[in-house]
Amino acid sequence: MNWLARRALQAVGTALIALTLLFFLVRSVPGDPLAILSEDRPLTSEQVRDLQRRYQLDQPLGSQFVAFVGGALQGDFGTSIQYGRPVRQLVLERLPRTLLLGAAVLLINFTLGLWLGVQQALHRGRPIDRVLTTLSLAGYATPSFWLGLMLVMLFAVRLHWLPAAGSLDPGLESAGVASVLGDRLRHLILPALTLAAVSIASSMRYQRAAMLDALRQPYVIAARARGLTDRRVVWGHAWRSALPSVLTLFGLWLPILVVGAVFVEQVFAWQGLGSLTAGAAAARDYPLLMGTAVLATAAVVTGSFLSDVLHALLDPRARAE
Amino acid sequence: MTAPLVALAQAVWKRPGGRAGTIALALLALLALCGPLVLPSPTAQGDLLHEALLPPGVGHLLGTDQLSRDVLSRIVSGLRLSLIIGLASAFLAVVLGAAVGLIAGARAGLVDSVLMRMVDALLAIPRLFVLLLVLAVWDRVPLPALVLLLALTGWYGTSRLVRAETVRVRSEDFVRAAEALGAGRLRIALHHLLPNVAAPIIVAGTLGVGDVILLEAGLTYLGLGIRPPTPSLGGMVLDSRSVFVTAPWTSIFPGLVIVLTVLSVNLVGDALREALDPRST
Repeated sequence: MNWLARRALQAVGTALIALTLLFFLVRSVPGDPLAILSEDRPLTSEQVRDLQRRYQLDQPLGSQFVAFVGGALQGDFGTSIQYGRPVRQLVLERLPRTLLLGAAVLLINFTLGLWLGVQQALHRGRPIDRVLTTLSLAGYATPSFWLGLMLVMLFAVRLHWLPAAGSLDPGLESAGVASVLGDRLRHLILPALTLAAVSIASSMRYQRAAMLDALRQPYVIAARARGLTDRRVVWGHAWRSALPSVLTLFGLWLPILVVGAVFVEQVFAWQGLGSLTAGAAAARDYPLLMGTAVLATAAVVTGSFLSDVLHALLDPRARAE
Repeated sequence: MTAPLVALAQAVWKRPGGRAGTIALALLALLALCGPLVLPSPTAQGDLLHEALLPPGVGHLLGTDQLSRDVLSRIVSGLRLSLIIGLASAFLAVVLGAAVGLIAGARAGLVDSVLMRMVDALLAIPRLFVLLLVLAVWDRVPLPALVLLLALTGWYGTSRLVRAETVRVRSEDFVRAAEALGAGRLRIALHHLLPNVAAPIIVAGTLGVGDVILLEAGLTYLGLGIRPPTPSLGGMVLDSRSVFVTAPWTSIFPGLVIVLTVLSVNLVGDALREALDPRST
């Protein structure tokens, strides 16, 4: 079997084990889901039976499990308690906003973040390296929900530069394409900056380490000895050879986004999957929460698979392992 | 046994980041321990009409919140709770991770593959989502259970690191020699393997404290972790949402304390990592 098929099979296996763990986790928690459904009002035995049938709780555990996995594979997680609509429909509606936010954060982390990491490596141990390290650590230590509030206080409430929440001004729904696009971007800035600030540390650290490693390699020293300009040596030789391992960061970035979006979207009322999840947790909307958890897990497994494939494409040595 | 620990502490102290982190942590711990002795009660309410949302001043150093409670007192109580939860959960998690990693690395074969496949799958489910699912059903989770939940969702990474180190050390001559001398499995694991895989355990344990503090604050902010009236840093930020425009002190200071605490812990963790693994710099 070739490398790619083996790796794909492994990803599918991991996802299936994770699904199994999620299923049994939920059933091992103390607490009565029916009490949540009924908002703690006493139920008649008829109502209990009805609810049990609706959520298949009257079935034996084995068939519940088969139904759960079968549903999950088809993207069917039942009906949201809060909205009374299929979970799949809600998730698909919210997905584009989260992808937009994610793309913006990815762009910042993979341009500014990598550039800063390179600068740190080039000035290793000097004050600029120390300051950037401390700053990125401070970002990593900052709760995104709090940073979001602080940015709103400064840029929306005090300075009136940017909107505080939402993703589009209500009055603009019928406006022209250009003004809608502009307004969307204005709404995107603060959430994207918040999420980037708390997550950029990993890009910087990874790039710094990879770059330091590359700068020590004989061919980089040889390139310097041949009298190439600093710029060519740094970007043409060292950075390019460090690229494959830096690209594996992509897999690391997905879980950060998935988790970070829950808090950031909630703060900015950004109507994506994160705020959907936060709302589902607050409302104890169990089917919806399970749907987003499975989706998040799928994103993590896919991300790590893709980054391995990317790595293998760029660096044949990775395929031999 | 104590000599390497003293040397490690000195190596951390020699690094500027490690020293700053240690000093800041000591001050924060002092505040958390001694603050309650001199400050008003964190749940005591004053005159709601005249003492709510007072700006920072002489009577209340960091002002009061919308229920006229002293913000500094609440921060100190919340900080103490955060530190207790962080230390307890990270400790439990690292013990669990070390145990699983040692078993997988030392036993190899089927045990190893089963455990590591399991850890792969556990790592694939974002920790936050597991906690959200559990806490959404488990209404009013007791504090010890919350600590345990944070520990049970925080050991996977450590077990991987410890396993890798164990596999590396297992084939070294001194382990072979102990085996040849007839040492039992448990003795080899605890006397020969564990001391030599301590580095990743110490680093993961320290960084784990910061992760737990952030996670607990986040869960509480979403309304699922620590419930009022117990003061907590995440809960203070949540409560301040409705008043932070007119009374910014109610949200600025609790958040700053979270940043400072987690940053200090991570600075110490980083210094430990550098001291234990010179290659990483």
